[in-house]
This record gives sequence, C-alpha cells and structure tokens, in this order.
Amino acid sequence: MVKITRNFAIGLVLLFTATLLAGCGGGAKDEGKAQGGDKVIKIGAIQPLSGAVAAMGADSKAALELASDIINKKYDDLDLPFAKTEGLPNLGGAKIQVVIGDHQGDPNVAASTTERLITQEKVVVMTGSYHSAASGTATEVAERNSIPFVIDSSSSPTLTNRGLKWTFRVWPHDGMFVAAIFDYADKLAKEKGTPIKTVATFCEDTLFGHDSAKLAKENAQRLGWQVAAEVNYKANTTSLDSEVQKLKAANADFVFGAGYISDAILFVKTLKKLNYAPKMFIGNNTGYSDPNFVKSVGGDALGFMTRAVSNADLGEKKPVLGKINKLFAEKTGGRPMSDTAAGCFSTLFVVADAINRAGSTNPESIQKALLETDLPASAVILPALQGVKFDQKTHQNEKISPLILQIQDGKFVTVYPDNLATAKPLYPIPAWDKR
Amino acid sequence: MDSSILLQALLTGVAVGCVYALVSVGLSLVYGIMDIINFAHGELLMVGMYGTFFMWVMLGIDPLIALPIIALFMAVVGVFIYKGIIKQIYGSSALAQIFATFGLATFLSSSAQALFTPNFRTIENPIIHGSINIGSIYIGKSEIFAAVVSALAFTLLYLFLNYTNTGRALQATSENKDAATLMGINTEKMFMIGWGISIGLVGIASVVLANYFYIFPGVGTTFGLIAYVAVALGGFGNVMGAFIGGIIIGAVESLSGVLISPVYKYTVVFSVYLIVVLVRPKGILGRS
Repeated sequence: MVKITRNFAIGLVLLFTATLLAGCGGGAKDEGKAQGGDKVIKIGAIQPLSGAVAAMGADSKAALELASDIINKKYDDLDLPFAKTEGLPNLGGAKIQVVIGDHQGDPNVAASTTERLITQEKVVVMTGSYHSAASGTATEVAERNSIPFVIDSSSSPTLTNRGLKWTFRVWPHDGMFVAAIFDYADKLAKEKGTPIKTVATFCEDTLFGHDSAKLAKENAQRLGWQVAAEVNYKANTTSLDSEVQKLKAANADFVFGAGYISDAILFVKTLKKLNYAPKMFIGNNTGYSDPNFVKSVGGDALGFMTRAVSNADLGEKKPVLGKINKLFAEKTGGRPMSDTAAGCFSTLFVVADAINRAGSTNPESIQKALLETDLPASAVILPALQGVKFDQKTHQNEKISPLILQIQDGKFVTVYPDNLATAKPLYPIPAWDKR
Repeated sequence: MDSSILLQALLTGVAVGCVYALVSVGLSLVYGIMDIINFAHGELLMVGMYGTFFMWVMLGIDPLIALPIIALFMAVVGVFIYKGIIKQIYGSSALAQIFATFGLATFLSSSAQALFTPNFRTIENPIIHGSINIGSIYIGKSEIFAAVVSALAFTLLYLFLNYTNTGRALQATSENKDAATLMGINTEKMFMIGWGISIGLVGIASVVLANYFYIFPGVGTTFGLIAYVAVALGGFGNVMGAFIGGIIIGAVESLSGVLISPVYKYTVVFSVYLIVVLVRPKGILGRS
C-alpha cells in the first residue's frame, strides 16, 4: 500500500513538473514571437459552432477567416481598409490570427471559453458571439481580465447598458431594431390604408427573446397599439401548436416574432397545419433571417419580413458587398453570406483598425483606440451601418439604419429603406388557400 | 375558453404524445431487461431520422415506404450496439454503464454534425402531408399517421410480449434474470432481442417524426429528454407504463399550453411528474 502511494506521489510530481516546463516553454515561445517582425496578433472569437445554430456559427467562422485573410494578404481590387496591404501597417506588417472558440449556445461555456482564450491563448481582443446570453457572460469575463470585447452579432440592449468599460458593440441593438420594425410596420399599413390597431408577440424565452418582447410592448405602447396576445415559448421545443393556436385566436393586425432557426421553421409548418397566416409578420432577425429558414420553408414563409443589417441582393447598390459575397460563396462552396456573418466580417476590420491606430497590442491602448473609432460607411460592408462611431458612455455604435427584408419567391429581397429597396413589399400576406 | 380549442389541443397533444410514447417504450424495455438506461436513445432517434432523410433525398423513397426498412435497419443497429458496447460493460460498475451509452450519444451527435453538417433538413411534400379539417379543428395528417403507427407498433409489441414464447421469455428475463436462466432461457439471446426491438421502435418513431419535423444533429436531445421523463412517469421497466407516460406528457404539454400559457408547458409537465412520483414512487405502473 505504501509503495503504491509513494510511486503515485512521485508520478504526480513528475507530471506537474512536466506540465510546468511545457507551460514555460510555450510562454517563452510567445514572448519571442512578440518581439520579431514575424509577429502574430491573436484575436479571440467565440461563436456557436455546435448546437442548434451551428450552421450560423460555421458561416461566422468562414467570415472571420475571410476577413483575416484580406487583412493579412494583398487584395488589390478590394476597396476596404487593410486590403491593399499585408498585415497591420503601424505594427510592422504584423498579421492577425483569429482564434475561434465554440460556446455551444451556452452562456456558461461562453464564459469558460473566453477565459481560456484570454488566459491561455493570450488574445488581445475578444469578439463574438451571436447568442446574447452567451455575449452577456463572456463580456463580463473580458471585463474582469481588462481585455476589450467587441460584440459583432448579439442584439440585446442590456449588453451595452451595464456600464462595462471594456465592452463595445459594432452591431445595432434590439432597441434600434425593434423601433425600426415597428415604425416600418406602421408606415406600411398606413400606406395601404389599413392602419394597425393590434399586435401580437411571439418570442422565445432566453435573454434575446425576453428583451425583444419587452421592447415590442414598449413600441406598441408608443404607437398606441393594443397587445392582443403575448406568446412566449421555450426555445427548441418539440411542438408549437398551443402557441400558434393562441396567435390564431388573437388574430392581430401585426405579429412580431423573435426566435432562433429551429423554432422559426416549426412555426411556419405549424401555421400551415393550423391554417393561420398572419396579415403581417416581422421577425427580429436571427431565425427569421437565417438562410436555412428560407431553404427549409421559404415557399411557405411567403411575405415574412425581418430586420437585417445586410442582404445578398444589395451587391449592386454596394459593390464591395457584392465582391465579398462572391468571395464568401467561393470559400464556403456556394453558401450565401448572412448578415450575421457579414457582421463578424466587419467587426474584425473595426478591431484591426483600432489595434493599428493604437500601434500596440497593449489592451489599454486598444481600448482607447476603440473609443476614438470613426470609420466611414465605405470601411464596413454592411449597408445598415453608416460607419462606426461608438457612444462614449455605452460603447454602442451609433451610426445605424436597419434594413427590412421580405421573403418573396423563396428568397430575401430588400424592401426598406427606399434607396436600397430591390422590391416592393407584399402586404397583407395571402391566406393559405389563396396561394 | 372555446371547447373546440381544448379539443384541438387534446388531439394534437395525444398525437405528439404517441411519438413520445414510441420513443419511451424502447427505453423502458431495455431498462426492464438489463437495468441499463440507454443515454443514447435520443441520438439513435436522430440517426433514424437522418436515415429516413437520406433514403428520401438520395433514393427518392418516401418515408411511408421507408418505414419498414428503417425499422429493420435500426433494429440491426440495436443488436450491434448490444454486441459491440453493452455486452462489454454489462455487469461492471454503474458508472461504466452510464459513460458507455453517454459516450455513444456524444459520438453519434458529433459524427452527425461532422458528416452531415449542422444544417437543418426537412422532407418536402411526403406522401402523407397536409392537414384534415373538421369544423374548426385542424389535425396534421402526419400527426395522425404518427399516432396510428405508434398505436399499432405498441399493440404488436404488447401481443408479442404476452402471447408468444419469446415475448414471455423476455418478460421473465426482465423480472428475474437468474430465475430465467435457471429455467433454460438464453438470457444472452433475450438481451439481443430486447435491444433489437428497442432500437427498432425508435426507428419507427424516427420515420414518423421525420415526416414533419426538422432534422439536425441535436434533434435527439429534445425528444430523448421527454422519453426519460415518460419512462420514469410510467414506471421503469414497464412497457405499457412508458406508453401511457408518453401520451400523458403529450396531452398535458398541449393542454397546459392553451389553458395556462405556452411558456409554462414544461412546468406543468414536470409538476405532474413530481406529483405522480411523490404519490407513487415507482411510477404509474412501475414494479418495485
């Protein structure tokens, strides 16, 4: 017994020593890299690479890889910052390396993955993460570690209302989005002579859905509409029959939805099954903007609208977007670039710009540079971004004007704003037996 | 509250419940025979759904026709899982048994994501699609199909278990393995048959589900979770109990959705479960 314990103890000590040595060796290697000309600047990214929205995560990963490729290499025919140079000019051509972690759509995993990226991978900036719940915990980890976290695709307003000094957001937040949705619904209905009186909400029950439902109620109140039904449901549920029954009974003039892709698909199928077609439906992006949504139920989701920050059909109105869409399709074997992926893409440029202006990888300098960001619309590929300038207190990008897209003929067309619209809106959505 | 809304909720609830029931029955069967909880049950449902999808998209075979093929295929998969994994860990510590099937679950869902991508698949315009309209009640034909198939499958299973020699031998093994062996029953063969039937039933459920539900690597988790609750509710080891448990959960879920609020659906389901388990710890039809 004693012999086993002794051997075990020796083994344990040797194991610890070996780990320490390996850690030291790794650290020394990083130090060396930080000095020389072949410098690599690590930028962390957490995305949902597994779970129900893994397809979206895969697109974001591809977008990040494409963006870092453009920044690191020479792309003479692209009109984007850092495209025509290799690496970051003010740091001697140092290249950026995006280190991606999978948060699985789980806030706890998001926090631990961020912790790992910061403490072990030694990233100088963090980005992420699609799920607002995941961004919520991850930004707190970044705050504790004094590392900037630039949100590229989560829209819950709370994320920039917590007084965190190291959190920034390029992407618009739901306050802006939902207000734009409601204003558009109001405008469209009035134009057709049938002003809206009642609204129903259909929101999932995590941070994203909760905030969306709250904002919906606020906007309904602002416009003097009655909330005919407030349906909240558990995300990734097996059946939405009861929920749709409630919506059908309420028969509101306008239905506002917020949910992820799986529920969006089930929702449309259930609507068809129970023979209910809302007169107007506008979703708060995510599931309702997912390319998979159109692919799975595009025909049946005729007339469904969503807010967005970009759209594949705007390649003509914004040439650089068209070029990037093409590169993205080449990289991913023909997949269209969703606006979430485009958001990740543009955010990496914002981060690169800040690090470049800071002229160092010191997090405090990067934080200061981020606060001073003032990029024009041409620096970002998203049509709904008029540029990037962060509010000094909340660190939210203020230069936003959201788009409204609609599904027509099985694809997304832009219906608002008028100067970017590629099609006329379809309203009201025809009943199932009239298609 | 309009009675037609309640009736609609009850009917759709029972229909969904039949699918839950079919998934749960297999789980209960295996537990009854071997005292092993198959944590990969939900993932095997996912495998069956993908099988159905690929038969449709690559060979043009409609789910209705693929049903017996997938059922047989999954039954064979079940036997392979028994021989390849379960047999090796049978009799070892509980932890080993849990990790074996749990590991299988992780392996299956990760492989599915790696091989088939996380994109959502749906079978479009299967032979059985659309809904039936009676007054103001709408029931999806796919759901009726699911309910009918589940009821039929369960009836056949019940008849098999109670009126055939092999079935009764299975029940005997379930009651007392040692006594069964002493009576000359080949328990090894019983385990194989048990697993084959269990996963074959999951195969049937996967086909009826794939007919109208979306398919992706994580789809098994949602249904798998409900299966465990249904089995516990109905009584571990009792096949009839699992079936009833599944239907009860489906009905309660649907009714509480319209009577109370959709967001409290699972609160009510699990409350019912807690009450049943407090009043009758071994489940509705469970044996001690």
